[in-house]
Amino acid sequence: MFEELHLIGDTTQSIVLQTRKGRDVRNAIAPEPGGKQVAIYGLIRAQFGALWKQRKPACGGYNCFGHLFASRRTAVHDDAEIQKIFEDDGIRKLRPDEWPQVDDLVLYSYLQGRTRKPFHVARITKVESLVIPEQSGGALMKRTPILTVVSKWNDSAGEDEHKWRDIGLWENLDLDLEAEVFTERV
Amino acid sequence: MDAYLKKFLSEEFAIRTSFAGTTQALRELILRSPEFKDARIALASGAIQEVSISRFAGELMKDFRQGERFPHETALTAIAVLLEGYSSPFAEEFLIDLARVRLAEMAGAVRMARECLKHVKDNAPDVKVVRFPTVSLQAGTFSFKGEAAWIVVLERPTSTHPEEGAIWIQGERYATA
Repeated sequence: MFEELHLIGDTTQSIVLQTRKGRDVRNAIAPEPGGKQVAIYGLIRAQFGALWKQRKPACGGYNCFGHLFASRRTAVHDDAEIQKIFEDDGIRKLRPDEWPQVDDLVLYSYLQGRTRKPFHVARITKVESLVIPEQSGGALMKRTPILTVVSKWNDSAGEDEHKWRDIGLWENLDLDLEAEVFTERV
Repeated sequence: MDAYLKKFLSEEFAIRTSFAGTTQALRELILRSPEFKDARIALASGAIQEVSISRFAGELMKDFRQGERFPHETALTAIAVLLEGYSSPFAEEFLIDLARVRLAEMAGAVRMARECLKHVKDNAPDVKVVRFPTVSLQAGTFSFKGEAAWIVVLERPTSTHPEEGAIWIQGERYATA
């Protein structure tokens, strides 16, 4: 079926990318998107991105994990490689008493069996808070973060700034998607 | 062009499955899509034939241009996932052949073929089918089209399985060894 393609040889590109502890991270520089990929990104923005603010139009090179962990130089596509980065770089979930900060990251994960797997990652660009009175009279107040993030949706889409819960595209997918804040801060 | 497979080329399918950060997440999106669920049932019931898949993939590949991102990568990726759950020499050959490609232009589909082969290996039968006439009877359980099944390969005909060398799965003749 693909014999002729084998004759072309190897056109893949990657860079040396390592974790803080020096373990290699498999990666692949994505080629620039074609007309079809750009059109699909446009359709998704039109359908779900009414409140998104575009930072960068459709481009290749990197995906969301490459955006965060390789400074937009390449794409990282594999669960195991992402786990390696989180472990070696000391990236941890925010404690309940901690408040998110700009440059922390939001990890979207889905449930597979009993394990949560990485789905998407985005960088926090703005932290606001919503204060909700917990008792009548307003004696106790609960502060909830409202986060703005930048997402590079995949290795052919563009970058959009959006509220962290504004991900209507993934609703009704039965993925049990969860968004949690992670940080490398000690 | 097969109607079930053609849906893998639709805008709806592309929108549903476009935004995923990892190959594994993309596979989950594909598995959950209605287009894929319909195609999987059609393949299991024989409504989609191997020859249709081969022809469809051949049509897609006509639009491959070296140096340009492959426009039908999503559809080819979905076929890889479809064949992961279909136990046949054609499916195995398709996935192995795609997994060996080393082209950035369609790297997403290649990554998916490799991921699917991992799943095929993980779900491999815990008995090896030793072919006729090496043994008189091998029996055990394995996964067939995503479901647990039992298998029998015969050297000599019996009253319940009269055909020499036939492979029987869940009581139905599947192929000749």
